[in-house]
Amino acid sequence: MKVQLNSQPRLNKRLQVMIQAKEVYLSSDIPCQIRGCAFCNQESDIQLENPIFMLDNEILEQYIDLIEQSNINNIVVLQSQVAYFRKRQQQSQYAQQMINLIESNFSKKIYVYQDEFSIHTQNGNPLILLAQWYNSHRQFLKTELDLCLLTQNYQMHQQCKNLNIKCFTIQDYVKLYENNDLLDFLGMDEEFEQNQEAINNQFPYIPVEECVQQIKQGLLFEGRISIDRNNIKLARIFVKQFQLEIKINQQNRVLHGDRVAVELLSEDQWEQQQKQKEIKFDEDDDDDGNNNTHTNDTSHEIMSTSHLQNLFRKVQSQNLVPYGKVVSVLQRTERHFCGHVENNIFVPADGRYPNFILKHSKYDTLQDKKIQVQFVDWPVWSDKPLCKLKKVLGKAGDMYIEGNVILLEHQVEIREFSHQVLACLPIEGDKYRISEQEIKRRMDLRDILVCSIDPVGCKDIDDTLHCRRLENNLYEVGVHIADVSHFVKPDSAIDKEAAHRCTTVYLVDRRTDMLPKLLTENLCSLVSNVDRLAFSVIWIMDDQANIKDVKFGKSVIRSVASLHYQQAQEMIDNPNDNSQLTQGIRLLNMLAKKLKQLRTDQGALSLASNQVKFSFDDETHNPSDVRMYQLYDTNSLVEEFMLLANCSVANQILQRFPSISVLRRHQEPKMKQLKELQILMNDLGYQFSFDTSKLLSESLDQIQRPNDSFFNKLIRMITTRCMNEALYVCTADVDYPELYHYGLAAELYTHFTSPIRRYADVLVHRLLAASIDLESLPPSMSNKIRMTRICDKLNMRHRMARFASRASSDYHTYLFFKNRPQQIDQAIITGILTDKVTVMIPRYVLEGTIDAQIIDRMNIIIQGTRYRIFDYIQVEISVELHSFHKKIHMKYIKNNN
Amino acid sequence: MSLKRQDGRNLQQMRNIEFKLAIDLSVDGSCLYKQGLTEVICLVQGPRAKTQSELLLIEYSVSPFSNIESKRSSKFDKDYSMFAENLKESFENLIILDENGKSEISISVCVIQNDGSSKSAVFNAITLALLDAGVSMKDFLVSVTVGLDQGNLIVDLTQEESKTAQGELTISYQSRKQKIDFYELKTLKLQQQEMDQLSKLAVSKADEIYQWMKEEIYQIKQKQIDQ
Repeated sequence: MKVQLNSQPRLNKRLQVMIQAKEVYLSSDIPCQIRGCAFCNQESDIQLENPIFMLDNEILEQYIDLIEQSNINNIVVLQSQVAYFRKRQQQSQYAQQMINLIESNFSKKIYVYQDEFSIHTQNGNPLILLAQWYNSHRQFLKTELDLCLLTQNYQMHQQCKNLNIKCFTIQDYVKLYENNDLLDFLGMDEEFEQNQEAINNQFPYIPVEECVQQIKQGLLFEGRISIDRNNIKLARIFVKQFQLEIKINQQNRVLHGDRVAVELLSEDQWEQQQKQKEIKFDEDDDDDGNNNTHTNDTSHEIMSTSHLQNLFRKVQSQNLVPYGKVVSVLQRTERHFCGHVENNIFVPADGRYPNFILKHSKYDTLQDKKIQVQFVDWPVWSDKPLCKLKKVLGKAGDMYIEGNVILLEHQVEIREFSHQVLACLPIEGDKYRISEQEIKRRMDLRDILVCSIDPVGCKDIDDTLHCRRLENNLYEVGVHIADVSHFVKPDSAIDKEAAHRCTTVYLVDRRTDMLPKLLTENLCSLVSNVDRLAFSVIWIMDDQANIKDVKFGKSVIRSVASLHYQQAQEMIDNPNDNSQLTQGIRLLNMLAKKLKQLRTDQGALSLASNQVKFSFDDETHNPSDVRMYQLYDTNSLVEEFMLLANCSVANQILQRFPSISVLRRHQEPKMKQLKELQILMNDLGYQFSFDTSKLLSESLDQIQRPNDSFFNKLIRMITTRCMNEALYVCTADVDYPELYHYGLAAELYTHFTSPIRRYADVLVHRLLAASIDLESLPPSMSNKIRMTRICDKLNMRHRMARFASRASSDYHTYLFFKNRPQQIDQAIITGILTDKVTVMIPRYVLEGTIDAQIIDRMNIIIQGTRYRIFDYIQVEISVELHSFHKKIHMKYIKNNN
Repeated sequence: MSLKRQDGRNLQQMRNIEFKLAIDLSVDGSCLYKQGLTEVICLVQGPRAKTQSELLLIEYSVSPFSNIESKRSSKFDKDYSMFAENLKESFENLIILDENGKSEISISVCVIQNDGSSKSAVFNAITLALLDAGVSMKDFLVSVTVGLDQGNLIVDLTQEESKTAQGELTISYQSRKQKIDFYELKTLKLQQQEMDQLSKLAVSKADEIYQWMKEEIYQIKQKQIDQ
C-alpha cells in the first residue's frame, strides 16, 4: 500500500506553531460499484447503472432540489464532498439538505467514493481523475458506460474536453435531457442581468479579503445581522469581540442572519439612546441561538489601539448607540424561505426578510400556493433580492400545508425517518416482548400498583408513579420513566437522528416526533397492563415529605391504569372510592402538597404562561373554541414528583461526573425590566421586591384585586417576561453556584422525565445509568467540548420548537377569529407605549394595541375617556396574520363602567 | 463497502514497519525502528565488564519534541517510571544474564516521534537491538497495540485514534513460549466479551509480527554473511 505523507501546521495549547504530520494509506482496491464490472467484482447493495453522474460542489449546493426531481438517479459522490457538507451542516440548510439526500437513499443510488484513500484520485482535481478512472473501466463492462460530469466551472469543462469526458453545465443538461418543467428551478437567465445604475443607498461591496484585513486592523466590525421582526428597516449587529451593539443605518442589501462587515459612521451622526419606558412585550428578539459570548483572546491585541479604547469608553459612559453602515457581506445566510407569490414578487412568511423577485414562466400556477425559494443574488441596481423556486409546498390556507410552513421556517426536521434509523428498532416490531434475560437484570416491580396521569389523548406516556405506606410512618414513592436509552443505543443511526432533532415539536394539530412512532407510541409508552421497561427513582420519605433515602435503577413495570388529570382528580375527590390505587394517589397528593410547600418556602416561583387550548370542530377541523389551560390538583401532583426526580438525578450525576453532566440552569431575571415593573407596582400601591426569588414570590402572592382573579395571573405573566430563558449547560463550562435554577429555587436541576420527547433526557439517562454502574458511558459522552456543543444545539432546537408551537397557536387563533368577525369582549390595559397602549383579553389571552394619548406612566386618554393602567375596557377584535404572528386589531368601543 | 480508518487503513492493518540495524557502530547493537510515524531508537552496550551493581540497566526516555503538545518527561512521572520498571522486568526474564555476575548489559531506548502505539514500538526496538548486539535470549519478544474504536476492533492505533478509542490494549508476547509478558489496558469501561476479543486479536497479530520480523532478520543476516 502506498503511503502519502501530509503535513499541516497547527497551533498547540501555548499558541506555538507546530507541524503535524499525518500518514494516509492509499489503496487501489476501492471498487467502482458499476453493475457488472469485471475488474472490481464486488458484491454490494449499491450497484450503479447507466447513466452515471458526478456533480461538483456548486451544483450539489445550489441545485439539489432539481436533482431530487430529475432523472439523475445514479450519482457518485466523493467522500471529500460529503465531508465538506457535513462540516457546514449546522449553519447551512443547503448542506443539511445535501446530507439528508445522501443518508436517506430511497429513490436515488448514491455511492460515496472514498477518494481521499484512493490511489487513483490524488494530485489533481479528484472529480476529473475519478471520471478518468471510471472511463478506464469501459473494457471490463459488458454494456457501454455512460458517465456524465456536471459542473459550473469553465476550467473543468476545458479539461474534460481534452480528456474526452462527457461534461455539461446544469443548464445545458436540463435543456437537453430533462423535462421542461424543471427549467423553472434553474432560476435567473442571463437576459435579466443588465448593467444598471446602482440605486440609492446601495453601493458595491468591498472584496472579502480586504474586509478581513480591515477587521483585523480594527477599522471594520464583524457580526451577524439581526433585523427587527416588526420593522424591517431596523437592523443591528452585535460584535462579540467587543460586546458592542451597532445599529445599522444603511443596510445595503443585507438579509437577516448574514455575517457582515460594518463601518462605523462618524460620531456626530449617532443618536442619543432613547430610554424605553414601556415594559417590553416582545421577548423573542434574538433567536439566533449563538448568544453565548466566547470572547476571543485575539481581541486584546486590537483593544490596545488607543482609538478604539477611547471609543468604547465613550460609548459606555455616555450611553451612546453607535451607528454603522454595511460595507460587505462576508457570508450570506444559507437558508430557504417559505412564503407565497404576489404577481412576480415572492413574499416570505418571515417578516424579517424583504420581498424577493421570482423568475418563473407560469405565474398563474403559483398563485395561492405556498412555495419555498432559494436566494440567488442581490444586484446593486435592484431594490429587491432575486430568488429561484425550490419547491411548491401546496395550497395556501390548507391547515396541513400551513403547519408544514411553520415547521420548515423554524428549521424543524419533517422528513420521514430513514431506513437506517428504522433498522435500529427491534425486529419484532410491535410484537416485541421483553426477554427473560433482560428482566433478570432489572428490578421486577410488576406487582406494584403503578399508574400514569397525563393530559387527555396523550399517546406518548413517559412517566408513571406509585406510592405505598411502609412501617414507621414512612412512605415509598417511585417515579418510573420510560427507558428510552435501552432502545436508542449510543452512536447508532437512531441516536444520531434523535441528536439531530433534539426534541418533539408540538403544533396545535399535530406533533413531529423525535423518535419513530413504534417507540414513542408503543414500546416506550408506559401504557397500562403491559410489561414495559423503565428507569426508576425510588424514595423513602416520611410524612413531611423529607427524603430519607433515594435509589435509582432500571426496572420492569406494569402500569395498572393510564389516567388523565380530570379522572385522577375525580378519584381523589370521590369519598366512596377506597381502592388501593386511589389510596396511593391520595398519598401522592398529600406528599405533593408538602413538597410544594417546601419548595415555595425555599423561594420557588409559580409563574403563569399565556398558553391556550383549542377545541376543534369535528367536521371542518377549524378551531371552535379557545380557552386558557385548565389546571387540576393532579397536574401539580405529577409536576412535583417530576421536579423531585429531576433534582435527585441532577445531584447523582453531578457527583459522579462533575465535568460532563448535562444540567439545566435558570439565570437571574432581567433586572432592568423587573425594576420598571417594580416602579409601576409601587405606584399602584403594592409592595414589590425582587432581591431574591423568595421575596419576588411573596410579592406576587400579595398582589390581588378584589373580584378579579385574572389580575394576579396577569402580573405573573408580565413577570414571566422579565425572566431569562432556562438553558441546558454542560457542567464543564459553568461553576457550581451558577448552576442554580432561579425559577425552581433548586441548587441543581436537569431533565430526566421525558426521554421520549427530549434528547437531553436521553443523555441524562445514560449518565445516570453509568453513575450507578449499570452501563458503560459511551466514549463520545466523555468529551467535554462535544457535550458543550450538544447543549448549545439542544437550546437552539428547544427555542425553535417553542417558537413553532407559538406560531401554530397564533395561526389557529387567527383562524378562530377569521370565522367570527367583530367579536366584542372585555380587555384589560396591560402596558403603556409611546403613543399606544397594550391590552389583553383575559378570555382568549390575546394581546393587542390601541391608540391612546399618554398622560404619564399611569394615566391615559382613549377617545376622550380617561383610564388608568390595568383598567378594563370593551374592545372589538379582528385578527390578521403577519409573519406567523397574529396581528390583532382592536377597536375601542366604550367604557363598561 | 469496506470500512476504512481515519488514515485510510483497513481495520486490522498495521502501519508500515521499517527498521534499520547497526545504525551506530560505536555500540554493540543498535536499531532505528519506525512504525508509521512513530520512531524509536535503541542502543545496546554489552555484555561488558561490570561497572555498577546491576546486571541489566534500561534507560527509557521520551524526547520532548515527540508529541504535538510538547511535554517534558521526568523520572518522577509515574507513567514513565512504571513503564521503565516493566521493561526491566520483562527483559530480565528474557535475556540470559551472566550467572557469575561479572558482566552487565545496558540498554538505552528513546522515543523520538510518538504517533501512537509507542510502547509496543519500544518493545520491538529493544528486541531488535538486542538481536543486533548478539545477546543471548530465551525468546523473541514482540509487542502490539490493539484497540476498540466505535465498536470496531482496530490494530496499531495512531495518536488521533487512541484519543477517541474506547479501549487500548498493549501486550508484549513471547511467541515460542506463547506467553503474554506485558499487558496494559487503558479504558474507561469495557465488557468482558470485548476484552477477550481484544486479547485474542492482539496475540494473533503479535504472532504475525514475529513471523515477519524473523524472516527480515534472517534476510539481513544472510546478506551480511554473503558479503
